[in-house]
Amino acid sequence: MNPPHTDSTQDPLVRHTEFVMGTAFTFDLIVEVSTPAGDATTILRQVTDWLHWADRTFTTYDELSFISRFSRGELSLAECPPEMEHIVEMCDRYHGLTDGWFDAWAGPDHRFDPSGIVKGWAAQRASELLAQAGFIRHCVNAGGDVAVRGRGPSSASPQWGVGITHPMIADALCAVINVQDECVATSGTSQRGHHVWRRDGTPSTQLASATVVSRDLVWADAFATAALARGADAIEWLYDLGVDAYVVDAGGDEWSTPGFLDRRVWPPHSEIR
Amino acid sequence: MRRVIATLVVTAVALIAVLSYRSPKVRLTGTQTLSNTTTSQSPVRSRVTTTAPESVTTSSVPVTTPPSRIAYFSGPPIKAVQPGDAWVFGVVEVEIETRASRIIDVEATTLPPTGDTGGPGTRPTTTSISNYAAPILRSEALRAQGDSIATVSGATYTSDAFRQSLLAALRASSRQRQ
Repeated sequence: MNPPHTDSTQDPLVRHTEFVMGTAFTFDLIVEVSTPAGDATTILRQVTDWLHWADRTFTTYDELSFISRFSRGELSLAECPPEMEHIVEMCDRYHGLTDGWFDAWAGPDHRFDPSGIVKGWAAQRASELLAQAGFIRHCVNAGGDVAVRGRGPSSASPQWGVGITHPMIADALCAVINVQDECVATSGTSQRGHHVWRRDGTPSTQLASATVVSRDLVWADAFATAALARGADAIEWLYDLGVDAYVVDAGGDEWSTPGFLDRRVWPPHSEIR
Repeated sequence: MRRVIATLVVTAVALIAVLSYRSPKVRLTGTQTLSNTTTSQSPVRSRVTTTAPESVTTSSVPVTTPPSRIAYFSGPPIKAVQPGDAWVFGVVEVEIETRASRIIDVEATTLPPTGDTGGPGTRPTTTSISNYAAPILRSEALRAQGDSIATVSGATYTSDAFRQSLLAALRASSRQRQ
């Protein structure tokens, strides 16, 4: 029942893990002839410095951060770094795109909390910075939200294999999919306790996890979060939107869109019940 | 301008013990103890050993019906550091830096596991990675299930361990400020 081992070779890569935004950001940079390994250290430092700045700016755990002061009304948008306006715009946009199910204002006290979007946004920006620096083949994994670019590291496939963690069973995967130049976000109720709130302020419980594949990590994250908040009809909703998505409900049943099934490399299709 | 800069660095260590493979539950047990604090001069360094309480990573989703497909390890993900049925996945260490009463930096570092890693499911790279942590080990262990897996999407226990360590560090720091 394990995902297969192949006889493939793996391209050399530089791996770095940075703890920031309350989670682990792991960078896999594939080193090619045109990208000396020393450059990887330099760009990784720049990228992680920026991530720490974004963390300080948008952390809701620090009462004195820009986001805390902004959401208490102590600072105007103009008094915040320009990224704040961008984040507010994104939250507005995804609130509309997800029929209101992605809601940065839905927490218990209705304070503006864009945490759901900041991590994905930061990971995507990190990926862009890496690409601009010439590292066009890489993977950024922000605590389970994944952005990959370019050819994967394995000689067996041009794509990157992304395992999806099982929402209920620790140390188990429920699927492995292939992606290239795309992002994968998984939102789950087990991740941090109930961190997804419905519009009436109650936690969402019908789904155990939702995974969305998209070109844009913020988009994927917002829709995965919205699907989880939405509950039972989420898979139909995602299907109608034409999203490649995978949902595990609270009973352990799995639902995949056709596009997601096409990407799946494990378990084999013959094992579908 | 004379500035009194009090730098306080608190280290919290969260040990994450996970039940042996084939067990569907994650168990984090133990107690939290604050060891001696160096009170001489700044930076003040104290060490908080946290083993996160059980509630931290216990899934809030009741596991009633077993899912249709479960992928298990083909072997232990890493060598057991503790005897018995618990696998130690790693250690998360959090450092916070404060100036006056303000946190100016939060950083997590990690400790390498005790001894060598090994076991059928372990990738050769694991011994060469110096900054270990529970999530990475978990992610590594999951990736090691097949070489078709480059990375892992979805829940990691990072946040829990990190937050737990951070809270312990904050508590220690507020105690030191008094």
